[in-house]
Amino acid sequence: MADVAFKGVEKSFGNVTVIHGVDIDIADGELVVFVGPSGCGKSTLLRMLAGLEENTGGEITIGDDVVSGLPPKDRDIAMVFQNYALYPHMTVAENIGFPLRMQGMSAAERRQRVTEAAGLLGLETYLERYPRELSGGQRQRVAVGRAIVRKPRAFLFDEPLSNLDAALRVQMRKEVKLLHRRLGATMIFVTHDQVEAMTLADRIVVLRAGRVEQIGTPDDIYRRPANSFVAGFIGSPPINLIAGTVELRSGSAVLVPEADPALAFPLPPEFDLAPGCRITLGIRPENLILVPAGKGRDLEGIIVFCENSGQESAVTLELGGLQLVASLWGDEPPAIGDRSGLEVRPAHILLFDDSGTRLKRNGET
Amino acid sequence: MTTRMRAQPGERPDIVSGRSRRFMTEGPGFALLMLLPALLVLGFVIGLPMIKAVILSFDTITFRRPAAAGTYGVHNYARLMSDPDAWGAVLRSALYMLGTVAGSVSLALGAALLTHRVIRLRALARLTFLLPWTVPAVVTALVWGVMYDGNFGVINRLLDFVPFVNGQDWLIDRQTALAALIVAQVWNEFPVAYIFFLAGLHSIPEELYEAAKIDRAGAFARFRFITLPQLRYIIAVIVILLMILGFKAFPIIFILTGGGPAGATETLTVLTYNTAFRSLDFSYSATLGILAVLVSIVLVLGYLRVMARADTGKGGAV
Repeated sequence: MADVAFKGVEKSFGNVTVIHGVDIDIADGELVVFVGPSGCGKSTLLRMLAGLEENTGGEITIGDDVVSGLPPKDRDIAMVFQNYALYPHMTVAENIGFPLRMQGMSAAERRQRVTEAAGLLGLETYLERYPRELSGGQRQRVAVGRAIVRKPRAFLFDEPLSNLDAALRVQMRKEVKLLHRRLGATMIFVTHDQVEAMTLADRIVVLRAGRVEQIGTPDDIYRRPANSFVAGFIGSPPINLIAGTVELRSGSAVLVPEADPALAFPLPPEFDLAPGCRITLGIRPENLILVPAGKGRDLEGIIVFCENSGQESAVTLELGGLQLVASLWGDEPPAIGDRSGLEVRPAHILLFDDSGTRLKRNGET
Repeated sequence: MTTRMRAQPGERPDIVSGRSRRFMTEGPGFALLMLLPALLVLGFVIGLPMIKAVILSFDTITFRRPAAAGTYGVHNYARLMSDPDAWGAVLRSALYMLGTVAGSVSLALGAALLTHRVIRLRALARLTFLLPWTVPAVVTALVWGVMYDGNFGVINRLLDFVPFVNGQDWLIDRQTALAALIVAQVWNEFPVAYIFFLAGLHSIPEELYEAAKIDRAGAFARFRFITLPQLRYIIAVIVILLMILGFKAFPIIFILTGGGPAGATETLTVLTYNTAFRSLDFSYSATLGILAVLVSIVLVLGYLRVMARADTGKGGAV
């Protein structure tokens, strides 16, 4: 196992630059997830690390070796592909044993290593089957088997769960996490699914348009996003973002939303805010609390939509010209058309300046 | 005047006409009706000559003994069994077939591997390899005839520049004539295989090569463990198609050597022609033709078997 580093890595296709000087340090044994919307460059970064694409600038290192320019076979990495990329004319055993065969390992030793890997993944009874005779989950396990059998310096996963159905995806996610714990290997996992990123990662790298937006633990990314893009990308249902202007009312700062200047959201005093400055308030749905209407509430709206997933309801409220989403856990979902009051948990308010960067509270490091 | 009665409740409906109507509307009746014209034409142009040839092969129609016509028997088949010329021709057909198959498959595979990843001048590169196919076999034969010429042919002129290699009378020398014909045939027919291989190579998912690269497979290992196994059904189909083409090849051989020198290139098809139109022994020629048909049937059965295996997905990709 080894640490992995991207230092000022760039990638251009002709005049078009798709990766703009990316710096990422991944520690030995860490599970790092690259996440971002389609076209953000996460798969390109992974493919450059694998040697399937050449970086046009910067340097990639695995352990102490600079691997930029080396062919994939000299990088000692293993990769699991989105479409499994199993060799269709080979049995499960031959698929798993293929990298060992390419290393010139003897048949007996190969058999032993393949049996070990298959045992780890519960594939013992499928060794003589062909990939076409396996289910999606089993195929993905074979692909993982082919990766782990070689004991490489790093494992790369390129959206490996995106072809699986929802239930299987949850199960495989758990298996990847357990495998990581068992092997203690350096793993880099690419996904566009933020739930996958949050549940799997030791650290998450959020990318947008070929640039790193934030690197941090899942908790950091969720609670202390670097900017409004990260805040909006991570979290489901997504964070409520309200753009507006700071005003002083009765000595306290409030946010007057652009969408409806008749409303005012009280702002916590821990922020240094000059009246008149334009900011965006971010509040996650679980930090908006539905309370009974009336009783002199500042914020009150009409329930216009409700998405009930059983354990949680995402309730959309219309407050004048604004629509906000609040999460309701466990309770019976409210009826559409009802009026409801709304309370904001001030400790969880996030504020972003005009450029989208998150404003820190006084005393926050 | 007839009147049609509707079946009343409790009355037995007209079962027969109901069945025949169903046969025409839901059953195979309509399909058969639509196929009938084509089947009749095919029966006329293929079936009739075949039957005529079989009858002819048991007859005794030869210009050497015109009076013997109408004498039916298995004498032509008995003669075939002990005719060294016929079995020699079968052997030459087999050699010709194997030579053209080996040459075309390797040339086509090489050309397909060279051009399928080409990005610049892709169309030109492909057109170059497809061009020989567009040339009629007769023209191919005439062009190669000029190139093989011992005195002024371009092949001997080029060989003048190669030390220790002398020019030959390629089509006149018994040692080289068959090989020279095979080369001309390969040039003419390898584009058929080239097109198949190109399509086959394009259908192999790029991810397999990427996975193999990461699994430390070099270029040769990728060819050996990915390309060849993935193309195996296409290769099998092409080999059998080319075997059929090679076995029944006629124009190039007939135009360049006519079966000579001294029968050195007389394949079964050329012998069949020569027996009919040079020796004017039509019945024995028909017998040789029947032999060629039997060999072709074996080859076609092989082809159908390979196709059936490919269709059942035994070689399918994941």
